[in-house]
Amino acid sequence: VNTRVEEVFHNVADLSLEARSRYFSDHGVEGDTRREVEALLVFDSGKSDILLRDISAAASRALPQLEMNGWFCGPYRLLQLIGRGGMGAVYLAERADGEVTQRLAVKVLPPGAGASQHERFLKERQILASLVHRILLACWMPVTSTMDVRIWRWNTSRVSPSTFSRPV
Amino acid sequence: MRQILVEMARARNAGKRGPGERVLLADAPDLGPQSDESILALDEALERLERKDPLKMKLIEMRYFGGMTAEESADVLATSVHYVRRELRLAQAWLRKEMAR
Repeated sequence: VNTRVEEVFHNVADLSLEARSRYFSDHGVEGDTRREVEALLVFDSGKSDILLRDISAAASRALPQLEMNGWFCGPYRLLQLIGRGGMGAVYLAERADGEVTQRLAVKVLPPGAGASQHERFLKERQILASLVHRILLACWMPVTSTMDVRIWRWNTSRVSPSTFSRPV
Repeated sequence: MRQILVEMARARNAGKRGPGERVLLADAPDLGPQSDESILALDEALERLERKDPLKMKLIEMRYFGGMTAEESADVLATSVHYVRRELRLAQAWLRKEMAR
């Protein structure tokens, strides 16, 4: 899409058919440019975005079921899904960069989490950061901007995954 | 997210194509062939869009695979919401046109 096509597209997209033809002749828009603009306008359906809406629906159905076992989050390898809810999924994970041997729980925000979920996630982190308990050594790190991960370090000899799925 | 969906669709498609090929992600939820084909076609169209106009591709990804609003995209890209909406509108028209071919 070249800049001229884009400019004309935006200038005529909201005009009536007659006003469009007038714009084309007044501004000397002919040939390839006009044909390309008109072809794009056919697909400028505005309200009904069926195909892409289907795809995002498919994505929202598929992604919550996705298990990320074997995936890496920063230095951690996700081993096993422990539990899942509206606010994300928690995995049993291990440190995989060879630095230290460590097992942890990693919480991953659900795919496509919005700003409010993100905000709550951060609040939860603050609460967790202020908790002190013999079985809970809280720590967390952001891994990427799209996949925020919170990490609980915990003593696996004392806490079973089921205990963990109902945290403090 | 786009990668995940495309990989899931590819794995299922591969399974359907012939007995020689195995489904890699046996647990991948089946969304029906229509969805798979759509996602694979969209992925190809997005690759073409990226070559023409990387910013528009990014915006489409943010919108449809990241679930981001125009406001959120504008925030991330440090640009105006108006600009994001304009770019998205054209990118959507271009994509639908490509996929209708």
